[in-house]
Parts: sequence; structure tokens; C-alpha cells
Amino acid sequence: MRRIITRNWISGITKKLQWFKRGAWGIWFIDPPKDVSLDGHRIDSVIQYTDTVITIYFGIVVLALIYFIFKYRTRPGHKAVYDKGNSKKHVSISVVMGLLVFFSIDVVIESMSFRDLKEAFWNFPKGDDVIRIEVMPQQFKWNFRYPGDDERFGPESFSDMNSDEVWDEDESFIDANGNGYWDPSDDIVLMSEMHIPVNRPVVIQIAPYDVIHSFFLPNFRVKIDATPGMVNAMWFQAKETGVFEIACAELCGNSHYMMKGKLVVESEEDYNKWLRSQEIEGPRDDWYDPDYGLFHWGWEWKEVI
Amino acid sequence: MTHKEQSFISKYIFSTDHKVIGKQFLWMGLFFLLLGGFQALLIRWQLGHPEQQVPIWLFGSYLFEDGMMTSDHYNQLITMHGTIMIFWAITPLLIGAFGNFVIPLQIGAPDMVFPKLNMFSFWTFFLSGVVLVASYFLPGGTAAAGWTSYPPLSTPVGGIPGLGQVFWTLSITLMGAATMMGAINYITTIIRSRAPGMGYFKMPLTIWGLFLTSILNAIFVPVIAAGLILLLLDNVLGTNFFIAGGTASIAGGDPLLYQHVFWIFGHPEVYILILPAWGIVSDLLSVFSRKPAFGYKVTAICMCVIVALSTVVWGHHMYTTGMSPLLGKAFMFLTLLISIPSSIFFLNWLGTLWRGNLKFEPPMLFAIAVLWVFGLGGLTGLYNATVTSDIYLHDTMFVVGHFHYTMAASVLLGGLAAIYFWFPKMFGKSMNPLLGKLHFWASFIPLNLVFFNMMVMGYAGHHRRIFNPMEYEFLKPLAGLNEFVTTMAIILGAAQFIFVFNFIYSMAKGKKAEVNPWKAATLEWTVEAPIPHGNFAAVPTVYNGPHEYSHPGVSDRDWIAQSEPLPAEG
Amino acid sequence: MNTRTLAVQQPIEPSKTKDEFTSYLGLLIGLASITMLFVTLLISYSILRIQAGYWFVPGGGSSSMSLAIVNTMILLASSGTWVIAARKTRHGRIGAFRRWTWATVVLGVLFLISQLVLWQFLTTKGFTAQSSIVGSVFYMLTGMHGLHILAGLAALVWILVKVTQDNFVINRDRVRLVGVFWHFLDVLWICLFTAIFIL
Repeated sequence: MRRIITRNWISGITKKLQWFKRGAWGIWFIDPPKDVSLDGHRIDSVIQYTDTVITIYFGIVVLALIYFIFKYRTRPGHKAVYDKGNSKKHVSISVVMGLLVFFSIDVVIESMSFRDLKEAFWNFPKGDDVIRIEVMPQQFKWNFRYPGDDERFGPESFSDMNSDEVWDEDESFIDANGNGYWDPSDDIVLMSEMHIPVNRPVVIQIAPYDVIHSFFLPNFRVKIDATPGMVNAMWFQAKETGVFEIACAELCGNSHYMMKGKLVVESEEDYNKWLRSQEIEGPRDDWYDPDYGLFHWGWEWKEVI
Repeated sequence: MTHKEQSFISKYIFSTDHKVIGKQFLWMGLFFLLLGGFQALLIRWQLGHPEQQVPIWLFGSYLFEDGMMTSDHYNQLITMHGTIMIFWAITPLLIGAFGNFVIPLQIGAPDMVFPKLNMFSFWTFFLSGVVLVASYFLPGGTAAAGWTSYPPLSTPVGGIPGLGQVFWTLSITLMGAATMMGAINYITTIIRSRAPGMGYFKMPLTIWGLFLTSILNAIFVPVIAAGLILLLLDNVLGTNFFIAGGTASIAGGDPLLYQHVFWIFGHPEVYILILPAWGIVSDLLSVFSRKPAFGYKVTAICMCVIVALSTVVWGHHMYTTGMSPLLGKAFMFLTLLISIPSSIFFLNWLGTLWRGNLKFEPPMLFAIAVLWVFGLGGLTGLYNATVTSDIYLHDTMFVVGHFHYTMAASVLLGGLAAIYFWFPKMFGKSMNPLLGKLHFWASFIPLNLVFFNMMVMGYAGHHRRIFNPMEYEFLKPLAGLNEFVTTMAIILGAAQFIFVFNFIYSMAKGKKAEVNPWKAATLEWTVEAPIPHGNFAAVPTVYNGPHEYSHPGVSDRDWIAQSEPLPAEG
Repeated sequence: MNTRTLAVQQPIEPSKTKDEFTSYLGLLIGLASITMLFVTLLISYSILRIQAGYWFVPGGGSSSMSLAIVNTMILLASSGTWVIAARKTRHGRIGAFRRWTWATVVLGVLFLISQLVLWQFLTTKGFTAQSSIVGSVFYMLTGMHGLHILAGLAALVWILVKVTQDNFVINRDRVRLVGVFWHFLDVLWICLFTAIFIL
């Protein structure tokens, strides 16, 4: 309870001091893109708290500097005081002030960050209402893969399968344990456009095709790198509908600057309607081509987090 | 015993005298600083005026077809700008030039302990510069994977044409070898050749800065050399050290390994770049406040603690790579710890000014400016140290603003302070103080307007290394700010001509400087320029600390040299 | 004190202030740097090996390891000949010193040739730098070490040249320093050999 009160108190003061900060910097200030995510406000709060305390401390430093420059400027008759600053008193004051800075900024933002990581960013949602999407960036576009009706992504590796099995679309596969069947042909693979329903947690797993990319959602305040050889995971949830941009946040070559994607957040019905329309279009013919490297996503969903 | 008559070649080209070698590094550093600055203007032009021709005064039509920059040019520019500024501008200026020139003089030594090694170090460095500049003339262009050169982009998988990456890797390796040779020289000289009476806590803080820098250099430059050798093999020999996933021809590579190796070097590297400036500023604040550096011993110890901590915080460059939560938290905690010694020695800087007798000569103006930019830059590091705020701010212009404040602004202003301060000793002439002050204001104000606004842009989501921000809807509102920053950058660039003019004119026609124009207490001000080979006629004996200003026992003036005994009591 | 008078007198010679510990310290710092280089390479090797999950001795068989053991013996012998050479300087036996130093150089060159033979042997078996990550690591480590051995050989030859130039007077400090470097390269090889073939 106390922690919640403190947190509200801090964010309350922070909000009030925003106007002070803007005025103090004397320089205009541009807001970040509209936050439409469930947890983005946590990042905004940490940033704003840091802004506020830094403004106060740096403001004091600037005032001290201006004061010193005027009071101690050289002029006839003015002498410096020979003080090495190594007396116990002076050393303790320096150390205490250093610790004050540490405890008032560092420790606070660190605990805010620990708490946010634990409660939100590393707290991956589980359950049936989680939307799972796989993301594979490549030079220079985004690929998204949705599991189809069978709720499973395509096979882990084509090398385990006989080529005639792979080519026969009517066949369905028995997995290695002889359990049920799954049909990779129902997976939906899209380029550059990602649809998600509003108010449902979305977990993505991401691995790139070629070089390092980074999946950045400015309106959600999150990003995650895609490194070859690794599958990373991230989750987020939208609070509002709309169309937002996806940016690549790691230099990946000459068209890195053009590597944008579209994130469409829509209502539950619109999302389902969209998903159905993708499925109706039918399985892709080239999905089963073992030589077409782009579709070797290489991993099924990793049940890790 | 006199020296045998030296030919021009052995006196000025292949000299083993630390003062000449220091000046050689100075020329190289200034040349590359101007080249890197020119590239910065090209980058800013593109960001401020995308889809426009690069103008004639930026040599647009010579450099680009129809004066239109393309995105691969842009990627080459940002790569080379970063690489050149870090390794070929700051390193030779702060560490090569001032390290070489100042260390033996300030510790009372006749020269570095390994003069021939010193000479090799410069010429190896020169060769590295030649290889780097040669990459501009390659048909495929220069390296274009960022100064961080992450694989697989910097390997054949990434699709960057030509040998640019190979030349880049070779030049940095050569530069690293030169740095290691320099580190051996500086460390050994400081440990072994201090004049009698100069204990470690009587050394000027400039020497402390250079000493700690050299220790970090000796330990961590080999780390990047190792990483670059592996990268070179991936580029040239078809190995797969850093190539993984679908495009790897053999299994086993790991791009993340490169990032770890790079940043294990990379984080200490940023401290390597700034430690000399910290030391120099600490000394200069003392000289121009006419009082001892406040809390000298505490400052020296804080610098050592920061050096130790800097070795274990590299992960904060990699928070978004998907590292384990525990590792992220550990790096966050250790990184934030660095605040404590940093704040303490920053406060000591303020303490030096407090109750002083402040003289606002150009070196002092730049030193106080370092206080300002490093205060801001250091504080903005907090956003990047914290994992959650870094998730948003990583790879945005916020980081660019932050590191330009701490590296470019702080180090450069510190370097300029050093040049203004030691110019009379290096060249025996005085620089024009009025032009110096003009240069200061014309640089300081635009500098803040450029880099502070980069942080504003980063907070607004503007990610980095993008050729045309207007591709994105959410960045369209930032067009005006981008243009403003470009204008400020152009003014900043133009202001440097004041400095160049002042420098050249003073060297040629400047007034002859007195032996100790700043009335400073350290040993280099006891010898008259041009300083002879061997520096001191006799080994000086050191009686006092380096900052004996306004000592109550000295009545006729407000300073006393380190090699002058204090007047007897009573 | 009038600072102007200081410059008029004879400046002191830089070499007069350098003693043997100074040169030794310089070498130690250089060796620390080289150590960091190989530590990084070895740590990279460890990480790649742990992540690969499957590793094998280069060349797959025991014949490559035997060849490598022969190389190791050659290098150890060269350290031995150097120890003898260094001992000869104690009594100023310059001729013997030069002979034993030449023996060291010859053994060092033999080591390099023998490494190349090992490389050749492995390449014909299909084990190249491009065939597997094991190969990449192997050729990289042995290649880097070989380059440093070349530097060591250059140092040994330089000492021989200097002895001739200095009218056959031996500088025992130089001898000691070069010895430390050469033994360092030997110890380094033993570490690399262990990491590649035994662990």
C-alpha cells in the first residue's frame, strides 16, 4: 500500500513539475508519439521523473556556477582562499552530496525500473487470449506469421520431412510423437503489415533472416532486437485502435531508413474478419518450397517464457 | 655530451623527441578533426534538408552525382564520421599530442622512457590513417556498417560492397597497435621517470588522467583487436565467427559474441577518451581560480574507481538484445553506481571555483564549458543506464545527443582548452585572447543548441542512422527541428575558422610568449620555449604539489612552482 | 629562482635515466596487452564451443595431435636452447651465446614450418577454416600465435645483430627481456595447445 501511495505521490509531483521543467529548459519540448499501449506510461514516468530531478540538480549547478562566476571573478583586491578541500568536513560534504544524487535519482529510477520489468515487460502473459505472432525482419521489410486455425506455426524444419510429403497439399502431418496433425499450410504470412486486436496481449517472437534488425513500436515505447541465430520475445497490448508505424531500429543496410511497417490495431470483430479473409485466400503455393529460404522460419513457437 | 648534428629528417620527421612527436600527433588529429567535422556537416545537411541537393559550399557536385547524396553515401558518412572522430581525432589530440608533449615535462623527465617506440607509435598511427583515407578511393566506397560495425551487416552477408570494411578493420587494428605502444610508453614513463619528490599524489591531475587512460588502453585495445581479427577473417576468409541463422554457411557463429567483445572494449573506450580531458580540466580550473584543486586526492581516487567500474558495465549498450533479466539488472545496477564517484569529482570541480580568484582567459572559458557539457551529458546517461527508459531511447537520437555531449562536447572543449593553454609552451607564441573568447562563444552556444535538440528529437522517437526521416509519419513533425539543428551545426562549423585562423596566425606572427604566461605552478612552465632536447638542464626536485596557488606563506605572488621550495616559516 | 637561466646549461641525456627495471616494466605491459588479446580469443573460443554443443579434435584423429605434440616439443626445445644461451652470457662467452641463440632461431623457424605442415595435413583431410567452426577457431588461434612467433624470431635476430654491432659486447638486460618474450610465447603455445587438443 505504501509503495502505491509513494508511486502516486511521485508521479503527481512529476506531473506538476512538467511545466516547471519546460520553462526551466527554456527550450521547446516535443512530446513522444501518442502512447497507445498498456504499459508505455511506465517508461514515460521513469523518463519524466528523471527529467524533473535532473532539471532540479542541474539547475542548482547552473545557479551555483553563475553565482561563482560573478562573486569570485578576478578584480583588484580580490584574493582566492587557499583551501585544498581535503579536510574531513569538505570530503564528507562532497561524498554526502554524491550519495544524495545517487539515492534521489539512481536508486529511485532503478527501483521503478525493476518494478516495471517484473510487473510488465518481463511478465509475459499466458492464457488463451494471448495473440501469438512471429516476426521475421529481412533486408528491407518485415514478415509476419500468424498460426492458422490449428493454432500452430509451421514445422520446425523441412529437412526432417520427405519431399513428397511436403509437396502434397492434401496430406496432413503427424508430428514426431504421433499426436494429431498440424497443417502448416494454414499459417498466414504477410509482409509489412501487422494486425492485432485491441485490448488483448500480443506476444511476438522474432528472428531475422539475414542481419541484425530491431522491431521498434514508437507508439508502444518498446523495441527488441532481432539477432541471427537467436529467437527473442516481446509482448505488448494496445489500448486504442488506430494505424501505427513500425520502425527498424538497428542499422541493417542501405534501405534501413525505409524499413517501416504498419501496425493496424482494430476491434475484435474487425480483427477476426481480417484473419478470416486472409485464410480464405488460401494456402500459399510457394509455402512448401524447401529451396525458398525465406520461408524457412526455422522455428516453431518457443515455449520458453 | 652534445647530440650529433641532426638532419632535418631525423629532427622533424623521424624524431624521437616527445615534443616533436606530440606535435606530429597534433597535426594529424587536427586534420582528421576537420575531416570528421566536414562529414558531420554533410550528415546534418541530409537530415535537415532531405531530398535536396548538397550545396556547392559543401562540395556537393564534386562528391555526389548531381549533388544528390544517396543512402549508401549516408551510411558511409555516418560510419566514417564516428570512426574518424573517435580514433583519428580525439585519440591523437588528447592522448597522442597532449600525452606526449605534456607527460615528460610535467613529471620532470627528459623524455619518454622509450623514445624509439614513441616514434614507431606515431608512424604506425600515420600508416593507419593512410589506410583509412585510402578506403575513400575504393570503388565500393568505405565501410558503411556504423562505427560499431555489427556483423552480420559488416560481413559479406550484409551486402555492403567492396573492400571498405576490410580497410576499415585493418586501419583500426594498426591504430590499436600504435595506441598500445603509446600506452606502454606513458605508463612506464609515469611510473619510472617522475622527478625526485613527485609522489603519485603530487602529480598534476592531467597526468592522472593520462595514466589511467593508458592503463585502460593497454588492457582493452587488445580486446577490440581480437574482435576485429575475427571479423576480418569472416570478411576475408569465409569463416563464420559472427554469422548465424539462415545465411550461415557453417554452424556455430554468434553475432552477439561480437557485440559483447566490442562493448567490453567500447565502454572503457569512452572513458579512455574522456579521462585526459577530466584531468586537464581539473588542473585548468585550479590554475585559473588561483587556488588548489579542491579535493585533489578524492578526485584522483574517484577517477580510479570510475576506471574500475567502467570495466564491468558494458551490457548497458545491449539492453534490447534480449539478454536475461538478471544480467540486465546487474548491468543497470553497476552502471548507476558510477554516478557516485562522478558526482563527487564533479562537485570537486565546483569546489575549486568556490572562493577562488577567477580569471576568464580562453582556457578557463573552455574548462568551465566542460563542466557544463559534462554535467548535462553525464546526467543524461542516467536515462540510458536504466533498462526501461533505455528500451524506448536505445538507438534514437537521444543516445546520439548524450554521447556527443559527453564525448564530442566535453572532450573537444577540453582539447581546445588544452590547446589554448599549452600553445605558448608548444610554439613559444601567444594566441590572440580576444579571438579565443569569440571562438568560445561562437562554438559553445550552437554546440548546445545542436546536441540538446538531438536529445529532444530522440525523446520524440527519432531513431538513428536513417537517411531520410521523412519516410515516417511520426517523424514528420520533427522536420523543422532537424533543419534548425542543421543550421546550428553549420554555425558551429563556421566558428572553427576563427580558431584555425587564430592558430595559424599566432604560430606565424604571434607575439612571443613569456616563459609562464598563466603563472602556473607545474614543471613545464619552468623551461623556456623552444624547449631543448632533454627538457631540463638538471633533474628538478619537486617540493610542492601541483596546485600551490594563493599559498598564505608566499607573499609576493599568488603562485609557487612545484620545484621551488616554500619560503621558510617566520 | 630565475627560470631563464635553466635553459642555458647542458640538458640531460634521456638514456641516463633509464634502468633495467624500466625496460622490463615496458615489456610486461606489452605482454599484458598480448595476454588480453589471446584471453579474448580464447574466451570467444569457449563461448562458441559451449554454444555449438558438438566439438571435435582438429583433424578428428590422433595423428594431428601427434604432429602438434612434435611442434610443442620443438618450441620447448627452443626455450631450452635459449636458457643455455642466456647462461653463456654470465661468463661473457659470446661465441657460445651466439651459437645457442642461432639454435633457438633455427628451432623457432622449424616450429613455424612444422605448424605449416600440420596445416597442410589437416587441409588435405578436408579440415579447413571454412569447413567448420572448429576449423575456423583452430586456424585463427594457431595463425595468431604464429604471427607472434615471427615477432619473437625478429627479436632474437635483432639481438644477434646488436651483439655484432656493439663490438661483441652483450647487453644482459636485452638478453633477459628477449628471453622473457620468447618464454612467454612458449607458455602461450602450451595454453593454446591445451585448449585446442586436450580440453
